[in-house]
Amino acid sequence: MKTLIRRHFSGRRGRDLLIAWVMGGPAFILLGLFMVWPFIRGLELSTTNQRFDGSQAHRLSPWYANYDRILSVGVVHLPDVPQDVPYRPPRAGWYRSKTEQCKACEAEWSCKISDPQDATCAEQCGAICAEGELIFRWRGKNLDEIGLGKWANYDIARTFSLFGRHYAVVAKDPLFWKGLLNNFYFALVVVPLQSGLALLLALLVNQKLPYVNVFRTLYFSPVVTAMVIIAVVWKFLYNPDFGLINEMIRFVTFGKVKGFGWLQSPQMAMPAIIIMSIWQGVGFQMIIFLAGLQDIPEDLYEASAIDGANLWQQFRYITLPMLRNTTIFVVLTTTILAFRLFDQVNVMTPDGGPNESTATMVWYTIRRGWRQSEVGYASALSVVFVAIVLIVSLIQRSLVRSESALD
Amino acid sequence: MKALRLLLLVAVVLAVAVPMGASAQEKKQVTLWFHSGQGSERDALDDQITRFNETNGEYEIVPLEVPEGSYNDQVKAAALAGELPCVLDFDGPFIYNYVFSGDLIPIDEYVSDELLADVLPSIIEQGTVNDHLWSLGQFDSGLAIWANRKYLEEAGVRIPEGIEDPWTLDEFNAAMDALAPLVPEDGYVIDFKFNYTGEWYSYAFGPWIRSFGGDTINKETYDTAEGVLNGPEAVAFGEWFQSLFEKGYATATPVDPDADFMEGRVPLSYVGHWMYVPYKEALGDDLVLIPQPDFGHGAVTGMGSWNWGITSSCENPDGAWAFIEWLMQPENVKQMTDGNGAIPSRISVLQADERFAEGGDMYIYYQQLVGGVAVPRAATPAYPAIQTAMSDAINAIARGEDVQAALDAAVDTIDSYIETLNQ
Repeated sequence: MKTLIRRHFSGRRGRDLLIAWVMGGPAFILLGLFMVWPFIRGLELSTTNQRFDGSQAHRLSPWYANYDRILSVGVVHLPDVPQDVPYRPPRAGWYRSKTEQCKACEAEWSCKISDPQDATCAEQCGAICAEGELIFRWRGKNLDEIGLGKWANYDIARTFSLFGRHYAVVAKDPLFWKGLLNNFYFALVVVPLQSGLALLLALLVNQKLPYVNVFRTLYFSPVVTAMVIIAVVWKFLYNPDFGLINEMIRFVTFGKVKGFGWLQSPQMAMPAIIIMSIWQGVGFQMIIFLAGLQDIPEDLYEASAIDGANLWQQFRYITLPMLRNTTIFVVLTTTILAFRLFDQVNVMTPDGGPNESTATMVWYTIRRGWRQSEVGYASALSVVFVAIVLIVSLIQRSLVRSESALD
Repeated sequence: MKALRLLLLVAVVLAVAVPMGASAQEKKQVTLWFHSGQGSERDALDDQITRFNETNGEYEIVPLEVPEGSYNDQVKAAALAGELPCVLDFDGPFIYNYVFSGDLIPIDEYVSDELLADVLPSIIEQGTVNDHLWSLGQFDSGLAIWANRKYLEEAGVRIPEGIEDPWTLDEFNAAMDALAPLVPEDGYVIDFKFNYTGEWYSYAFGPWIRSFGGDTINKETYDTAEGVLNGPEAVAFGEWFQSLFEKGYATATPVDPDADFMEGRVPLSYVGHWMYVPYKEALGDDLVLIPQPDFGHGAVTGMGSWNWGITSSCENPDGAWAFIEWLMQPENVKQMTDGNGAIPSRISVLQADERFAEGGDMYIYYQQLVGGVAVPRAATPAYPAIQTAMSDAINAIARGEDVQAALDAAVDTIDSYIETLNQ
């Protein structure tokens, strides 16, 4: 054994190899212990119905039952919307949701719009109430009454209409798909916006101005503050009645705009989280860009100035190409960080936000695995999540590779 | 060689350290977990643990305080990891889940008949599953509406004498309408404690859904919530509840609702006994308790609170029981409930407490508990899902989302949990 080792690591090459192993050793051990091994365990758990209680865990049959539940999706052609959409939800089928204005009208005329015999209500409030949202009530147990019985195990994720016909995306686990879509929405907005803003800030704080370090520190300070604390503070800032942001909107518009229910409306909740996340994270990318900017040799700019290049041309033909590697790094890391979105969502909208508009993959995995103690199912969710992030990263890398990065 | 020397060193240190630790503590150690609730509860328990450790010659309690927000989750995780303590404190409704998973041992054989006869029936009901007693608690909870007497008198709103004449739905609505003009601009009419997370929504609004004629799970089969939590009665509750927010009588985004009530910006506060002590300090004699309204199917309120059990992995169940018995001593029950305003679980302590006697500040809690108004939460291992589903649904309704859709989603959460439970 000893001789074997000696033979293997002898000579110059051998010594290099030994040093490589010793230097890499701690990293390999830590990665193996905290990444590879848990992932293998996760793969194993994902085929079981393991719960925190543990007592009755067994392998599911078929073994991919969890994955089947996560990944099963379908598109269903929904029945046509009836002429008079009922306001009282049926056992399964279309109904119209009552808006606040509709309910106020009902109260004013003390009538019920859901009562078809009530002529006054139809007359007085019909037009107002007709603006209510159309909702398809999907109850698995009642679906065979409207001829959709084979989809009984599915739930509705969202409805859409195409050429005047109504369709629904249905899934066995719609919250997973909603979370996935929200993740992509967040990433698609945050990655370009945050990277662009970071570059802009880096250019600003790269000026040779007095007290520029003060600005660098200011922009960077949210990064070193714990996300949970920032989320709690922003939750108060976003408060619809007393929050600073709405107060400011009211002040600037002289009270014309009453402000928004930032975290209370399905359209605004995710943008609210996006704004706050960019504010928190942009300083980190700024510092990386700043380092990149300071690596660009000054003489390039001098030479181009002599050639008569203006500021924009300098930026376009010197700064941007020289920042190429930095940009690749920033975009890759921002993407991965964006997919990890959890802290701010969990603090600001612990129930996943209005209509689950801020539910994310990590949030959902923790909800199932931790709060509802469905460890097996959550493991399967994590495996799917890792696969998706891996695919996204590989696509990004191959796009970058094809243009061969500068060394 | 160096590695060997290091190993030797570690071995020596271990060999010296371990017996030293053991010799310092001749008493048998009994581990204990408790949720970090209010300060007064923590102080009382700390004091009781200290005194137990001083007086008991055989056992020593080693406590660990766990944050309340994720307490139940951490208990479940510890159960899987085999790291549960000996003595465990937990919120009432989770007992079914723990018993179902085999985390607890029954305590019938330990409890003396004398003690049992002096414990509130509601505490015994809460602790009993499958005809065995698994837990005991120092107090039961009280839930009704705290009100500011000045406001009610100014608005001419009737203050019910007791549980025999609660507000009806119409009376409740009329009270809202009458109070609304009196509150200042930065106030609102009723505080629903939307700053709370987790268990609050099931505990507080489950009873109201029942009073409307719905429920959180089918109480006959316990295998679905379909038709009860999303039936017409529950929807009626949801639409009415939503209207309180639409009219501006309540807010789903309070900043500091405790202060709002204590500083007189809000006349009504729907919350449990745990706010009694601070509220009393702030409002004095203006503080009045309004019994749960009767929304059509009788007045209903929540009950049950934190209680103590012995885990199945406990090596010293006798020591664990010695401590629970100590907690149940009348003076310790009194010390705890004096501080947190809860209903003492020992009848002798309860009867001696003026606050719960006729004319006392919290007489209504007592009436609700013994008068059949208080109902335990759903006795099912699916309770964790009910908690999540109710929290989501009540928040969605308050935000103004479609009531039927919100309740349908809650049913789906509960039903899919039951499905995986039986998988």
